[in-house]
Parts: sequence; structure tokens; C-alpha cells
Amino acid sequence: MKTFSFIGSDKNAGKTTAFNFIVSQLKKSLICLTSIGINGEFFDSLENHKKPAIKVPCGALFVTTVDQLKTHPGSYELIEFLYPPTFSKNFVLAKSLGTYEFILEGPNQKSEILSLKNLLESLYPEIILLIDGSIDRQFLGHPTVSDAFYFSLLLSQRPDQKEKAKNLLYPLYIPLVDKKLKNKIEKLKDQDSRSLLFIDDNILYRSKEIPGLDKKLEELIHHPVEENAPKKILYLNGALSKTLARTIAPKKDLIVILDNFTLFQNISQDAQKESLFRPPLFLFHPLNIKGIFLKEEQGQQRPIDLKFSKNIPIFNIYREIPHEITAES
Amino acid sequence: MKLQLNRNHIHSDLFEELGFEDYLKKFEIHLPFINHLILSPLPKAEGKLHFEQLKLILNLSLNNKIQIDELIALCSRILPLENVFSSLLNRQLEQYQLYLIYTFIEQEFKITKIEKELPLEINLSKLKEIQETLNHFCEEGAKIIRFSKEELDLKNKIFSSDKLLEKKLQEHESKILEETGLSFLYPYPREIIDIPPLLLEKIKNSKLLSLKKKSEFYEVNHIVSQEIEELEKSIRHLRDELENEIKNRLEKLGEILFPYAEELILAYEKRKKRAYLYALIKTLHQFNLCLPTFSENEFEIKKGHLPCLQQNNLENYVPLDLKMKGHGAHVLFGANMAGKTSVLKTQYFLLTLLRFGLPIPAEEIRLGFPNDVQIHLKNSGKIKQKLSGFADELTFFSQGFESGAYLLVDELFHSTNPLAGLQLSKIFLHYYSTKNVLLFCTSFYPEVLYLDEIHFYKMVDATLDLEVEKPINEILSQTPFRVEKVEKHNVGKSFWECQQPLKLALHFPLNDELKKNILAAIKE
Repeated sequence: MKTFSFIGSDKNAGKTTAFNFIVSQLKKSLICLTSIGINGEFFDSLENHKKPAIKVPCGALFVTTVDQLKTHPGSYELIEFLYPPTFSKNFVLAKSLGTYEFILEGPNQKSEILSLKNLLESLYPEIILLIDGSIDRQFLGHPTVSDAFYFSLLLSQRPDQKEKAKNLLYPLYIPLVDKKLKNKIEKLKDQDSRSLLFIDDNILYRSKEIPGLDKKLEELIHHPVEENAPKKILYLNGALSKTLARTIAPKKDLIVILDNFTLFQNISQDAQKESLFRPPLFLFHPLNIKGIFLKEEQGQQRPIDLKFSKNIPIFNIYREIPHEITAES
Repeated sequence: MKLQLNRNHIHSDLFEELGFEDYLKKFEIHLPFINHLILSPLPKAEGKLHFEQLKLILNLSLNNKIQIDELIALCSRILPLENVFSSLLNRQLEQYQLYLIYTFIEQEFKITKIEKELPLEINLSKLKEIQETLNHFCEEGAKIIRFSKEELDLKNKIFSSDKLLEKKLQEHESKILEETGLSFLYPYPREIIDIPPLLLEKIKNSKLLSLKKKSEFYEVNHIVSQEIEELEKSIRHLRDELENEIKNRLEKLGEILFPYAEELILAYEKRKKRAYLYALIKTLHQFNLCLPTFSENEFEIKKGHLPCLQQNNLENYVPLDLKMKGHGAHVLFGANMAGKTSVLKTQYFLLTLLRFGLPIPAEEIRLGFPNDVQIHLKNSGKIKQKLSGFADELTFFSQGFESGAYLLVDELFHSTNPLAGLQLSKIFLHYYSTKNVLLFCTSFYPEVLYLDEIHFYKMVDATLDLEVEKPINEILSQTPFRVEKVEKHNVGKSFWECQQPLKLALHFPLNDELKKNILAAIKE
């Protein structure tokens, strides 16, 4: 079983279109579609425009709430009910009996996704689970949840959107922590540690608090180490928030290791400016990208550099640029 | 299944202190159709019946006439039907709800087969009829709708039209590729920048594509043939037709099943109640709990546990053994730190659980059904309610107690001056000794011991060495924590011999002069 999650840099970054695109590419595989929260509505009432619906092909499995099944009676076969307390609501795992546009409203907690994965694996070991995800669900970055990601980038000259796209891509440049240090962290952290601060083998702090709100952690980060002492190592399994990034940015005596790339999202531009962010940054779990989808607002000028060192396929699904990037078939 | 107690009926300070919530966790069992249950105290008759049923189930399971684990496993496959019932009563069933009804009936038949010794009074033939109706309408255990011939024809038409549309679109895309070199894939329209002049010419000349100049790019879209447009329209129409057919049939099914609603709901509610009893017995077996024996004139606890106390003192914990009359006034005295308040709290914990219909952590308990259990702990008053400790105690006694109530009072009327406290103690003890309630209290007033109609108990003292000072923890570990009945002829002797508090004081780090004076007092 494989799980691929879709994450967009912004609202209207083309995530659902990318999702539909990959679904159409996987016709010959057994797939299951789910989403973090509601996706596939036909209209965005907040921004007042039409949205692409999610097309569930014939024979594909999907997860949604019982309320979302009312639209197409007779169009599905029930496979399993997913109910409280394991799940937060009454969800169903169903098989589509034709190509239908369903609104997907899947579970949005890590434990729920893991339970769903266990069920799917027991029923269909070869299945591919596609999660229409959300960047603020940091658990998606954990390897027990997602094997790889598809990114949808909104390329815009608007400062906020530009920053969000850059932030989503930034983790591609963050190196992976070396094996020795990874093993050490594995030994020192608890299963649900949100932060771990240590020097050599000495734990200075280990906590389940949200790192950005953890005053004690902040205090210990500020606490100076003796001259020539080894650097403090900070492992984070909670968002590297704006405030925390500002606290960490000037610290030369610190090495920061993020559990996964989703934790990086919230750093604002000023805190992130490469020259100001002193501590070396590493990822604990690798970021596997299956592909990047582009949605370009402007014409010629790309707001950010898209030349990646890694060999990542780029899908420019809305645009044809002869002699440069073409959509892969 | 997650249990919760209605906290309005439990002393606010004791709910957490005595670990009621932790105890309830023992009863957490996977039973999705009883997801969350808030328990309230049971009225006497209902409570007695409840425990009678539990005893019956317990005996059957002990004699291997029913297998609790198997029954629980079958019940765990029943899903909540509450939402289904509201749809059924509105005659508007959804497809997924048919599966839920079917699963319930299927499990019900399986359960009925193995609980022959204790059949649930439900109308199985009605359930059978519902199942047959569902089988007529659905396939594979109601996981899928059984299509009529007309619906199947429609479905096949949709399927072949979908295939045809796919083929036509592929042909359309191939033609575009052939004419212009553009691989036209989902989604449309597509934007093109920097179009080479030759390509621009080809697009302009193509009848399959439209071209719009935007500020920085061209927007190119399909011009699909009329054939494709009509095909798409026809597929939409066929889908609507099929869905309407099924909606109509679901409506008819709602009408057919409506008359069965009452029987179905009744069967479901009965199954829920029974599954709850099975869950209680499963937990009883798992944690070695006990059910009460009801006898109006008796009160006996054998090895009653207060789990929160036991957890803190695994090695030296002494469970409570207590035997007394089932009514009247009972006074417990004993030295400080001898465990008097723990005796009260253990009784309160066990009696409260019984009041809510739960098995208790004890070897045996024999008593009248505790339909009213009240406790008053010594305190310095309640500022919010503007009550002093004394007023709070009187307020406690001002409430009406039900016949058969259990009243547990810590240090009866020690909230006022000793002379008045003694007078009040005598008045209240005398009053409750003649009522059909059980008052169990602790006291330090020696004079109450001479009241005729009162029953006395004392905490057995630890043997203390007057010469060798020991740490308090060590003394506590040697304290017997046992309640002993004091016979009438030994009442005075027992009390006056009780110099344990003075002896205990010697083990605290007091100054030498104080210790010397205490020792002299003991020896006098």
C-alpha cells in the first residue's frame, strides 16, 4: 500500500485539479480517495467562484461522511463504516459504481488516518491512498502517514502568495539529518515528544507542549552554553512558528532538526531571511516529492526559481510553454 | 462504550479524589452502539431488578450457559441506529441506512441463537420480515442496491456512453495533437505563452480549438463537436433518470418499512440494555468485582477496596471489612491517622457505585439497596455560600433523607464548641437511631459512648514504642487500618485506654520539653 498526499501552497493553488489529474493517471490501479476536511464542493462560497469537483472513477474507493452520500443513491457499494470513537464522525468507505462527482469529507486526525490505512491495508494490500490534504495538518508529513507528496504551487507576484509558495518549496533544500544523530534523537525522544533539547547525550528538555507556546523551551534556547561546548540540538515535532523562528534565528549555538517538512510552513519572510537564520536546519524524515503542479497567475516572469537539484517532475497543467515545460502524459 | 456518572449526585470534592473516573475506565469496551452512557442513580425497585438481572447473567456465565466474550463480540458489530430511526419515522431512508438496519438484524439473529437461556423478548418474526424486504431491495447484506431490469439497462447505457465519450475525447485530442502538436490534456482551457508563429497559425486555423488573447498569454480551449456535447448531455440525463428511479424506490421502501419502526426500535433498545449488562459482567470477571446481595437489615462489606488508596499503597493496603446493622446510628472512633476518614470514603465510594448500578471492587457486600448515599466531611465552611463549617453541617442534616438512606459523617458536630457539639451529637444520634436510615459517623466525644441505642466501633491501633522515635511513614505502614466492633461492656475502657494520639505525638520532631510532658501524661 502507498499513500500520496496533496498539499497546496495556498487556496486556489489548483490542488483539486492536480488531485483529479493524478486520479486520471492511475486508472489501472486500485485507488482510494479521501480528503482532510471537505473537498470537492462545486462552489467556494467564501470567495464566490466555481470549484473543480472531485471525480471518483468507476471501481475506485472513497471515504466521506454519510451525509455526503445523499446526492447519489445507488452509485456506490458500501465497504465499511468508520465510526466513533475510533473516528470523529460517521464516515463510510465505499466503492464508486460509476464515474461520479462526490464531495469528499474525510477524517482529519492522524489517528483516524492511521486507522483508515490499517483497514485498507488489511482489505487491499496493493491499494494507493490519495489524500487531498492541507498544509496545516502537520501529521501528513510523518512517514507512517504519507509515503510521498504532490505539491500544488500558486505562482503569483502577490507578496503573500509568493512567500507561501517559497515556504512550501523551501524544505526541498533542507538536508536530511545524518544517521548517527537520527538514531540518537530516536533514543532520546518519547513517542509524543513535541520538542527535545539536548547536548551530546544529556537531555536539557523534553516536552509534549506546542513548541511555539512553550515558555520553558524558549528560556532554555536562550540559556547560553559554555564556550567551546558542543552545540545544543533542538528537535521539533511541532510547527516552527513565527515566534519560535524569531527566537531561534540568531542562535549560533543551536542545530535545529524538524521532524518533517510540514513544520516549516509558518516562518515569515523576515525571520526566514537566510542571512538572519543562523542555526543549521535539518529534516528528521525525508521529503519525498512525486511531482509539483504549477498554477501561474502572470505571464512571462516566474516569481520564484523552479530549478530543483532533485529530479522532480513538474506538471504545468494549466499552461503549455513550448520548448520549456510541458505537461507529462 | 464509555461510562460517565451524573456528577450532580456525587460529592463535588470526592469525585476526583476517590477516582470515580479511573474506575469507570475499567468498563470501557468496544460497543459502538453504546458509545457514551451517562449513568444516573437508580431508584430502589429499578436498582434491585438491575442487579437481579446482572446476577442471573453472572450465574449463567459461571455455569458456561452463555459466553460473555462471544456475546460482546457479536454486539460490538452493531452500529448506532439512532439517526436511522429518525429517517425511518419520516419514511425517508438513505441507502447506507439500509446496511445499518440489516447489520443489526443479522447480529440480532446470531446473538439470539447463543443466548437461549436468557432470551430477549423481541419480535423476531418482524425482524425477519424486515430482513427479507431488505434482501429484496439490496444485495450482499444491503451493501449495494439490487437494480431492477430497467435500472440495469440504464446503468449499462451510462457505462457504454461513458466509454464512448472517453473514446470520442481521445480521438478529439489526437486530432489536435496531429494538427497542432499540442498534447491537450485535462484541465481546460490551457494557457500558452510565447507561441511560435507557425503554431499560432495552426491554432488559428484549427476548427477544434478556440484562441483568446489575454494580457500576457493566449488562452486556448476545445471546441468540442456537437456529437460530444450531445453525448455528455445524454449521460447527464441518464444519470438523473437512474438516480430518480432509485430515489423513488427508496421512498417506497421507507413506506414499506415504516410500520415496522416501533418493533425495530424496541428490539434495538432492548439489545442496548442487554449489551450494557453483558459489558458490566465482562468487567466484573476481568477485575474480580462483585455484585451486592440485598438484605434490608444487614450491612456487611468484605474486603471492600478504594482503588485510589490502594494504588498509593500497594504493599500495605488493607481492604475494608465492616459488619453492622442495616440501620440505626453507628459511631467509629480511633486515633488520628488510624484511617477513620478512609473508612467513610471507602463506604461512600462503594455505595455510590452500587447506587449507579455498577459492580464494586469487593469480595462481598450485603445491604439494603443504597438509593440515597450522603456524606459530610469536616470542613471550614463554604465562603461562596456564606456558610461556616457548623452551618454547613446543619444544612447537610436539613435535607430530607429517603428511607433506607446511608449517611456518612466525618467528626459529627466537631464544627462547634465541644459542649454544644456533644449536646447536638447526642440529639442527632438518638434521633437517627430510631429512623430507617443508617448513620455512620466518626467522633472524638467520649460522652456519646454511653448512649444506649448507639453501636460503636474503633480503629485498631498500631503498637507504638515510647522509647524509640520512628519516621511517620514507618508508623503508617504498621497501622492495621482495621475496624473492630466495641461491645457495650468495653466501651468506656476502650476509649480511656486510647492514648494513641499522645503516643503518636512523640514521633514528631517536637522539642524535648514538650515530649517529656507528653510522656509524663501517658504514664499517669
